[in-house]
Amino acid sequence: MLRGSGYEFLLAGPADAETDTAWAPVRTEYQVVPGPRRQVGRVWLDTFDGRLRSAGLTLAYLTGTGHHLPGRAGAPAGGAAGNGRAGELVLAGPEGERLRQPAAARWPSLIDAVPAGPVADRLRPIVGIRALLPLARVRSGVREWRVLDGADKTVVRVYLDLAAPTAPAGEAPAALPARLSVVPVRGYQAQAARVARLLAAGTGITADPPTELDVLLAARAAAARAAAAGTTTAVPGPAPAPLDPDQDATAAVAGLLLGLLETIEVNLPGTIGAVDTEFLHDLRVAVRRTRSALKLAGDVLPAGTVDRFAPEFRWLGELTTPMRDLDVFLLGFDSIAAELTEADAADLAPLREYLFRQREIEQRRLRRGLRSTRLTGLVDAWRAVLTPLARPDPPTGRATAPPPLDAATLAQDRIGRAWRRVARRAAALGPASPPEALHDLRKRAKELRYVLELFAGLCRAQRYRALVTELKAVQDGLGAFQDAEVHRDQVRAYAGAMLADGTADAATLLAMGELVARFGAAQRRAAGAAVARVGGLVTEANRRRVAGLVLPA
Amino acid sequence: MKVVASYNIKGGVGKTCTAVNLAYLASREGRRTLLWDLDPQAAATYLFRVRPRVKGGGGALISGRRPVQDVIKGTDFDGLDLLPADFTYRNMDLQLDGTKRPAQRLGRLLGTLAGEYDLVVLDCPPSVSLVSENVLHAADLLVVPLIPTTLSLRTFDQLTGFIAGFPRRPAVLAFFSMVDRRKLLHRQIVADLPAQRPGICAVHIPAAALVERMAVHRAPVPVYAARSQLARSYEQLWAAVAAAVTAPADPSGPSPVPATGPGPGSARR
Repeated sequence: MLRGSGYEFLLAGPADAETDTAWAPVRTEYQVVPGPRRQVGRVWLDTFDGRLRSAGLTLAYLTGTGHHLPGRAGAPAGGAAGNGRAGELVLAGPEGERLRQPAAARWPSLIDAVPAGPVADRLRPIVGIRALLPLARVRSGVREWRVLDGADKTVVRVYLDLAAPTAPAGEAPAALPARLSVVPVRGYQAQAARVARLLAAGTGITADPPTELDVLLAARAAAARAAAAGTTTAVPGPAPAPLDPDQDATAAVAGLLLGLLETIEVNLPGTIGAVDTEFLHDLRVAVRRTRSALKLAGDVLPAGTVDRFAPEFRWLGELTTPMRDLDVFLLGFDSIAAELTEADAADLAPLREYLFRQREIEQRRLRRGLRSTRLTGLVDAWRAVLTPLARPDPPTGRATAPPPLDAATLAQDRIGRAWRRVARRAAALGPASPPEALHDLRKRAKELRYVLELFAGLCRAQRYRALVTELKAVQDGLGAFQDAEVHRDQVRAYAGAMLADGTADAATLLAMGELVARFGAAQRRAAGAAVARVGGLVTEANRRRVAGLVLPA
Repeated sequence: MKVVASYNIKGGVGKTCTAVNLAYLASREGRRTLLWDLDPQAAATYLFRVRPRVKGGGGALISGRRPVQDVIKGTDFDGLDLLPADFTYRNMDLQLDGTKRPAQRLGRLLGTLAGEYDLVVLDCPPSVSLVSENVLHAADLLVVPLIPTTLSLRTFDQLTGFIAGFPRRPAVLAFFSMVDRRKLLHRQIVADLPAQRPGICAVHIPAAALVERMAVHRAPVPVYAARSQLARSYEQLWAAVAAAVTAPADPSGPSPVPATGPGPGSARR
């Protein structure tokens, strides 16, 4: 029950640790010296998609002095790497990993805005371009005791942490139990184990509690579920129920579309707030998947649904395109600039500034669109249509007739159709094919990918993985072809605009000219590579994979 | 990680007091600090109330049979750890002599702690020996307490002459220790020499009864006499040491949004 070199206990009530009764067993063997009381604060951080949690890491930003950061039972503690200070980031990982660094930062924050240091170095490859968001803010009163041995040497520190979350607006705070941490001074693990055992002998103490963050996240998830059950507001709730092959095709498609609508909604605040570029990306993917689902399987929805909603989702997609194009260009800017051979990368500085100005303009336009009544109307109307379709009335007790079209049959049929469209275009492709043919194939391949992902839950896993792996390779090639073309056209357009408003000098325009030439060459290379790759996709083996991909109802 | 050694060929000049107070002040400033008590007399170990014992003795540490990390003890002060002395350190010369590249063995052992500490302070035994040669190779900075006497200055010259031949020479920061202002010679040397001799700083530590009380309180001076002139002198000394070991800050600042992302060909629209 008592593990490792650090020990944490939950108390039944905070008063227990303040009384002589709680300390009496320890005092029989050690001297106990009460220490200071402090008010501290911490902000638990992670990315929106939980990259740190997936990597087994927790990250806290400390806002008070003299912290002992409550961790996980068994985690090493104390010593020179022990307590944190205000303004520090503390990263804790599996196997007792613990890193600290100063980081005067506001949250949310991109990793590049965090000062250089061991925590930033460790986080960078994990969080990538996602912002670190505050998951929870906690204020805490901390009481400390020192436990001394016979030489009056401090061998153990004990912290009582009485924490209360500072809940975001509209969200009830989770109750946090008082947490008692028994922390060995480095090299005195045996004494800490002894003190922990003596304290644990007291009543109302529970060993090895869940971490503070676990408690907070569990409470938040429960609140979200409760809210989702009673309202129709956007709440990141549990994953949608898996597809049932026997399910009615209309209900299955409506359920999938509702899931995509939820993705759109949860990414709206981060997109409007420009927290990081991935919110917009994820929103756009959900919109594109919605459009593809309407195109490929919208016929199972009530008549008129596609005609009513497809133009609206096209509008939403187009609303977001200019901003995403700027994001993509800026995200790859350094790599693009590094490829210049004739011009100097510094010559592109005015272009970079121009792009940031354009991005601000586009951000305002996008924000207006995403806050518009047109979008709220679309979301409400779309949910109103889908909800009854996805949750048909429960059976009345009589044997119900099988659905006219089940989900498995629909999935096999639509995957097959999308595949045949790709196969036809791929077969017609050759070295002399015009760029339009490659674009057409790219769009159809994307549709196939989306319909595969939509119905992934109904597919045979091994065949699905093999098919998607090959499809992805083709898509990467076609994507490089398109990226080069988009970049080339963008730079041409930027050059015209910058020349007109006088923000580009000759050196900048020459550098941009070199970029255009490089993008053109890159596009030609990508076209050749894409044509070569397509041959590997449209094979008899893959045709057979597609034919038997979906598990029968 | 920087390594600072409190060192002098002479004994009884205040090396241990210097090492203990500098290590404490470094940790108080937020640096993760380790003090290695290399002196078998174990005075620094005693001052931090730690048992002067290393499992397996100095031989196990030097040979690598026992990792350095395993014998480190936390002190009563946050951010300050101690690698205790052991009486077997009296044989450390012999133990070092049996290793490959014996003059660099301590430096290699310290290298295993690089990610864990910002600063290591070595409290060295007096004399010129293989141990002290190791210290001179491992240290980024030698802090040399000097009693303001002619003989003490002579040993300082011996020390600087000795390290002059090193391919990687540590920086040297000497200061006057145990200064008795009632003595004319002390007053003259303290007043004149810092300006005349490079490597000797103007900070000096007075001879004070408070220093001797470290062994009574078993704590660094700023802990039990925070407002004393002695504590202020050690703080000034630490400021000089910190300036000598602190590298210039990285001038690069944060990049604008968005600043990083996938390379060419992996754009996701």
